[in-house]
Amino acid sequence: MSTLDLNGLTKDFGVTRALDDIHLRVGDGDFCVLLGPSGCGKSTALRCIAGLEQPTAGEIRMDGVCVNDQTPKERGVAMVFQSYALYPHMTVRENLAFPLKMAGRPKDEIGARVGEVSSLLRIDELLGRRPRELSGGQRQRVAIGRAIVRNPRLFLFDEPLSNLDARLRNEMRLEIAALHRRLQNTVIYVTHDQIEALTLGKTIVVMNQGRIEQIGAPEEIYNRPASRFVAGFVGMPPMNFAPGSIRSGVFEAYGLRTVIPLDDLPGVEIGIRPEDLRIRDEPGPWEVALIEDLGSDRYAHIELKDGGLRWAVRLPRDWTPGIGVRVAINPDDRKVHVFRNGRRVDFRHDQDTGVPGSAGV
Amino acid sequence: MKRVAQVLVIALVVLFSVGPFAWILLASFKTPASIVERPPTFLPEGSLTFYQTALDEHDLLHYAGNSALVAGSTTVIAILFGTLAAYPLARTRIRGRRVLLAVILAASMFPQIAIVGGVYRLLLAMGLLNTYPGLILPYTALTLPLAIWILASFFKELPVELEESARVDGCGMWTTVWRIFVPVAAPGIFTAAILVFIYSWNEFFFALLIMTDPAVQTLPVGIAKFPGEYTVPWGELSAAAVIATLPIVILVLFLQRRIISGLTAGAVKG
Amino acid sequence: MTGERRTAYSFLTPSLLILGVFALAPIVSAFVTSLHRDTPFAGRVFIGLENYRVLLSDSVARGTIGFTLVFVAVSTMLELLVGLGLALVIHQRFCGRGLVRAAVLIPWAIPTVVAAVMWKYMLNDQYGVVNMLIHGNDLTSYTAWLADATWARLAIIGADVWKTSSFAALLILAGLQSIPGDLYDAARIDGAGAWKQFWRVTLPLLRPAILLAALFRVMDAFRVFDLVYVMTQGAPGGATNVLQFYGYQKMFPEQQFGYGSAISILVFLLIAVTAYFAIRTISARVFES
Repeated sequence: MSTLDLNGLTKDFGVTRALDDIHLRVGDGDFCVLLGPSGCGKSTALRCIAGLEQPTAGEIRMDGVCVNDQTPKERGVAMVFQSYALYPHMTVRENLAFPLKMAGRPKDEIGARVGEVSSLLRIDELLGRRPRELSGGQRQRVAIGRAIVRNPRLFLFDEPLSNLDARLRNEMRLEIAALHRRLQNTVIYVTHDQIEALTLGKTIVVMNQGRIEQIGAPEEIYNRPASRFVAGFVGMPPMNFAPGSIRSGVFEAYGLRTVIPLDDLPGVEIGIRPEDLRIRDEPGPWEVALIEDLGSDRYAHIELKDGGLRWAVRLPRDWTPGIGVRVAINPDDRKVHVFRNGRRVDFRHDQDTGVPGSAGV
Repeated sequence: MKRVAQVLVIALVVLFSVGPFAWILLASFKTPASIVERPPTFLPEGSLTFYQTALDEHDLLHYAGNSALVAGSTTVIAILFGTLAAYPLARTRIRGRRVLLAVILAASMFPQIAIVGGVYRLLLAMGLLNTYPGLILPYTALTLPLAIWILASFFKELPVELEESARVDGCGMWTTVWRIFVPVAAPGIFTAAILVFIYSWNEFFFALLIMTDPAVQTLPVGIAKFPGEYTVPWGELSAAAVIATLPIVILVLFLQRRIISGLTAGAVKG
Repeated sequence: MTGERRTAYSFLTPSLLILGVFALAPIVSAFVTSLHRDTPFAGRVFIGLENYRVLLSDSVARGTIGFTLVFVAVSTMLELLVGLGLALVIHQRFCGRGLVRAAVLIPWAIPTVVAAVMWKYMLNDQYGVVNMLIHGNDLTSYTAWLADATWARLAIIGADVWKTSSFAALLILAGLQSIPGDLYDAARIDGAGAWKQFWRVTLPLLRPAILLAALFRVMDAFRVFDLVYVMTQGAPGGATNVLQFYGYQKMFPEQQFGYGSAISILVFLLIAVTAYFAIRTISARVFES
């Protein structure tokens, strides 16, 4: 049982503001991912929660109790570091036992817990080794083991997978997900990798320049990005954007036309994901610049002559346009996003009648 | 040709470095008759007479014991205090960190002559002249800057995550230092200890002025004041010098790497 | 956090206490004492800067200051040269390098008193190896080197160069090791021979290390004592007297604490000024690059 509340958390380093008025509630058993580019403040937030940094302003509450003045020790949290931070002079067993020893637990309980955790993580055979004798994946397991060994009320992960190679990263990601399903503990997980965020997170908190851009479930973040930043940061290849204005419920420019049931609105930006565009084999204003084959999917990068736009479009399985060929595109109207001043503008299609409904914001 | 030149140069370097020591080493194995031969000869008979006199009549082991006691205690105290001090200086953002480091470094540059008067009077007032603590305390002050400097430069290189992880695992600062930093930085601590030991084993100036009673004098004082009424007893003196140097030479032979890394630690990285 | 800060300061306390009592306070007390006439018979009388005035007019003191400065300048220069040579040799790759490095460390590691005894013995007028190497069987030509003013000075300088060049060598070696190997490859491709590489690449890049070694050596050379005490006691005729030995003579055998303290403060000031200029040059150089 543990919940976490951040109330107006702010952290300054000299003149730079790393965290700016962060409000966040993490429920019991939640897997909350802090996602954002480097320097967005996600690691600082995590370190404030751990007690490794002292916030400039704001409050951190665990289970409703303010822990601002508590040392990391008193907070009873566990943390997995990017570099694992295993103690090089201790064996795996001693590493696992260390937090329990520090907590002054009796010897037989320590032995039992270390046994449980090591079999859970399948590292029983490594117990006698030292960290330098382990592979990257094994070190990662030990680091996770050291975190879960004392049943902390809160798990903190700081980019735990970024030192692993791609294959191992996938494996460990699945393992962490399975572990969470099993233990049902509250997790705060920091990453800059959107795949990790979307696959692991129950709640994703997208951060940018010390602020929260959006809090939501993975589908929500992907399907209804709250800001232009979130829309551009999540998704690979990234969402396509184009500036323009809405007149009489229609956005029409760059050879594409999409119905948007909103009042006349100048100075907007529309966004469409590559998979929500259909490419047509007929001469249009776009020219194919590059074909990118990712194995499962193929994308065409198309350029607008004179328009300066470069978009990505997912290709159908059965057709590949040649480079330099002129093509036309049309979007899936219901998957078009509208942004104004960087924020999302909401609207609804009236799908029963197929007729544009009244504008809603 | 190039190879020959290289070997010659290396031989020259070795001769320059160990030649003088080899001279007294050879002399120490001569006999009272052969040592006064003129012109002097190089090769000794391999006699142990001088060692016997040095140990029996001049009570050299007693001086060696004093040296070992003083240098050993200084090393333990300086490393203990130095480790404690180096941690916050290297790893925390406490106010005045840079000033403290500068003051500590400056203290290592004070000339002994400018300190000795005050120290002498203080020890006199405390009744510590001619006592072991009377020498160990100023030695600790003399070697602490070196110890702190080396230890801090070793501590700085340890990853930050290591101590953060320790803090999250429930360590206070005290436990972090003794449970994590000391074991992990053990090579660096060992290096600092060697240097402190060598320094205190060799120190002469303070020992000369504070220890006037032969019962508590250290080896360098014993050798400098080696009794000789009309002529210097070169044979016994050579044997004494070899005995005083032997522990240090052994340290250097086995720990050459560590000593070099310790002496240059901080110097290069600033 | 405040608790941790308190812990941090408490960790520093034992060291600061020792340094305060046995290093900082004595310096202050030496300065205060230097403003007094302080002898066991006359007691302690405040006389302002009188001791310093005497120090500048005392001909023995002037000779001592003169030789100290010569000693510092010449020995440091020679130590840097020899140290550079030693460093270049032990930087090479050859088998048995570890042993050679250990050999080079020996002069640094042995007690200075022992080194002084060694050199005194080697320079002995009857049984010394130096006389034997120079004059062989010609016993009548054997010279009492330490009885001659010029030779005694050279002997003190020589013994110091032998004893401390290895320290300079180690600092310079560290500098050599920090020069990336690619630079030499690049210089070779650019057509520089071994000599050019040394002048154009090695030496310029070694400057910070050499400066640092010079700084340490100069400050240490001002404090020379052991060699003089054992080898000459300042003789002949004060030719090899140095400031720290002169200060010791005044303070301890002659019990003139005030005057002795003034001498010690002079040594302190000389070192402080050196340190100031050296640190300024070095940090300026560091910030340039």
